[in-house]
Amino acid sequence: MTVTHATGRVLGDANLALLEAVQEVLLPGDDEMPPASRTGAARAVDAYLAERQALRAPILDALVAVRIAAARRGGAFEDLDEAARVAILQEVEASEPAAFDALLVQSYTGYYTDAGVQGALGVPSPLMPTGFPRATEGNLDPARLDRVRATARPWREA
Amino acid sequence: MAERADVLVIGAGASGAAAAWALARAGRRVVILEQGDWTDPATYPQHRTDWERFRQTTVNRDPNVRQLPEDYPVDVTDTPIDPLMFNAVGGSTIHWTGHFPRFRPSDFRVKTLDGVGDDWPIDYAELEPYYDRNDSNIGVTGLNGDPSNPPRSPRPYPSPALDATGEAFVRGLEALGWHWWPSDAAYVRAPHHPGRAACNGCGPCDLGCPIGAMSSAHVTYVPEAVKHGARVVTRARVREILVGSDGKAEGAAYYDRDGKLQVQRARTVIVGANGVGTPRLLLNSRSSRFPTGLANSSDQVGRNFMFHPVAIVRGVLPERIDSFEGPAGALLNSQEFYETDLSRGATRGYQLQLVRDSMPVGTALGRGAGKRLPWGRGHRAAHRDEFGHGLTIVVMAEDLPEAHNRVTLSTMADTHGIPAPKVSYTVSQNSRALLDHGIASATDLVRAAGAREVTVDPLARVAGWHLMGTARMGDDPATSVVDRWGRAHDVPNLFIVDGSIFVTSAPVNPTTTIQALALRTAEWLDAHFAEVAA
Ligand SMILES: Cc1cc2nc3c(=O)[nH]c(=O)nc-3n(C[C@H](O)[C@H](O)[C@H](O)COP(=O)(O)OP(=O)(O)OC[C@H]3O[C@@H](n4cnc5c(N)ncnc54)[C@H](O)[C@@H]3O)c2cc1C
Repeated sequence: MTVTHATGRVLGDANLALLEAVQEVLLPGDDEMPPASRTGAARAVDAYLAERQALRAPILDALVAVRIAAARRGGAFEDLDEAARVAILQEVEASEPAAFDALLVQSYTGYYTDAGVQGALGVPSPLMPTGFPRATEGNLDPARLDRVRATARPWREA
Repeated sequence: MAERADVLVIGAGASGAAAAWALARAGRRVVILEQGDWTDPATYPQHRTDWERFRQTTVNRDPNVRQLPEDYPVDVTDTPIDPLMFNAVGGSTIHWTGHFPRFRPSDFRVKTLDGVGDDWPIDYAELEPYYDRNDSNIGVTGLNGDPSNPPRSPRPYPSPALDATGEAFVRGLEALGWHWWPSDAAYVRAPHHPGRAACNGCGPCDLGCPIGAMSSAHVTYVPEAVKHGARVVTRARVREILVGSDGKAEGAAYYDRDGKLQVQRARTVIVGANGVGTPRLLLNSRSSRFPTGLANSSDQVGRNFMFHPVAIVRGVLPERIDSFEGPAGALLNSQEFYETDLSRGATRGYQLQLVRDSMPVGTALGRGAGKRLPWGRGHRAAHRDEFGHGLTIVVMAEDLPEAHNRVTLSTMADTHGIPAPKVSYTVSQNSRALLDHGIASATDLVRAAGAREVTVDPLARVAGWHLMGTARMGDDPATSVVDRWGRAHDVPNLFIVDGSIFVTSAPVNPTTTIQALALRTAEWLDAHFAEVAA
């Protein structure tokens, strides 16, 4: 089992900034949860690209599609207001579904594997060594199964 | 050339490891050839913050996704279900979730009782002592007294108290008056063998247990076999089983970790390469004497392939119950619909396996029967409403053997140029009817538990966990590959111990039965060694 830390870089600064802006729309956060920009989500996706070649084409395609759609509106994605950004992402989602899906899956993955996000959700980060001991504590009281013992169909003799 | 072994075991998974342990312990010189490597639980992903991403990469359960050097590709162009496995010391038990229900007596008499499939040449009573022995060897958690199953030996560890997820399921089960029981589960609740700690409920057992609590073969039988003198050769991919002029197996030719072809000689050979790997190996072991593949005079090698077709039903509760906590797949099960009842529109039955729900990434992506959560302003609220709220039920139908469902050789090949297996499989009408009934039942159950919303995956593609039937057992050499002891009809010193030898599949997870059969075969081989190896 090869479990290595993803640390590489594939995206240049401009693409990384665009990815951050896109993720800000995908995962804007709220009172309880940080927006993607306050997590390591974009850098995490960049690192996944370094590790998994197959992801590069779809995600770069999605970013290019975002850039072109923004340029058609006469500007850079990062400079547009939120409504325009949302409209662009909806457009790319419809026109480049596979590429957009790859971007979304990796963005969700980067976001929800961020230690701060996990902490806000009440999940130990990392899972070990804490785990969830209460899920395996105590012993089941056999009396809980009295009804089953009394009513269950027996197995068929064979 | 390596020393001739008494017993060559191919595959260090659940079955091969159990057989190797039993024979090494009996004093036989055992060599295990395993195409994968050792893995160290201390390096498993759960020790890292970004553990959940490894489901998409190197620890994915699908070899076609992982594409590690030790994996072989599986041609899945003709199956709606992907066969899943792991190739390492410990085999697919590195990935499993340890749900450990036994077959019932009726599962060995399917033809007699229901007029379909075939009867096994053995019965439950013959296997029972090996089930018990296996449970105590590897460490199993459970509760005695299930009235729907024959009594069994005291469970080594007691079932834990119901957590919030268990309570929610039981609320529904009691409202409906259905059978339920805590699952026999192959994990330990106190330190067992050295290096095995008590389960701390961390959750994603399918990524490998990071503390050895799960009773996977690489922390149970393999180290014990090694203690008794077994030699494990890793990154050793067997190309073919070699047969002498007398028609007996002589050993195997394999590629070592440097890609060099080597020969391991042996007096007897045991194959435990799983329900896809074993027929692949036999079909690749062609010779002038066995032109259609080894042990295949019946033309049954690769045929009768059975999965357990699976549907997944997920209910969403209004309240968060942290249903992601605890051993992923081994919580409760309902065997209310286990035995044949023709009023359901199908013969045989299904199990409802009540399991844990997704972690944060899985929730966002809609893993299992969940739905992909929307992006944008609505995302956070959607995640909050779903995460820890889900009740997931795996509907697992008994599959019946059908000759056209089969493993053959593909035009694809692995990194050594060995032809890959191709799985050709269709879901039968009977299995479909069982799944449909199961979906309705599981929906009733989550609704009775209080679910406000229900989503369904009617046929889970990434659910080919159980691989069975492709070298089936029988008394008649014309219609089966191995006899009642797992011994090939055509090759008297060749044995098969994995799920290939299943005659029928029952509606329950297979591994306790696989390991019981492996222990039984090993004991028989040891007792008859002089005659078999002569
Ligand atoms: C995600 C997942 C969850 C599961 N959950 C459960 C569960 O809850 N309960 C249950 O009962 N079962 C479960 N299973 C199934 C269980 O893992 C298998 O039934 C069991 O491991 C089968 O044992 P085996 O020995 O037949 O094969 P495996 O454990 O698959 O071992 C076969 C071994 O043979 C090796 N091999 C194959 N070909 C060659 C070759 N040519 N040369 C050398 N080595 C070779 C492989 O590398 C592998 O290590 C699960 C499986 C998966 C994938």
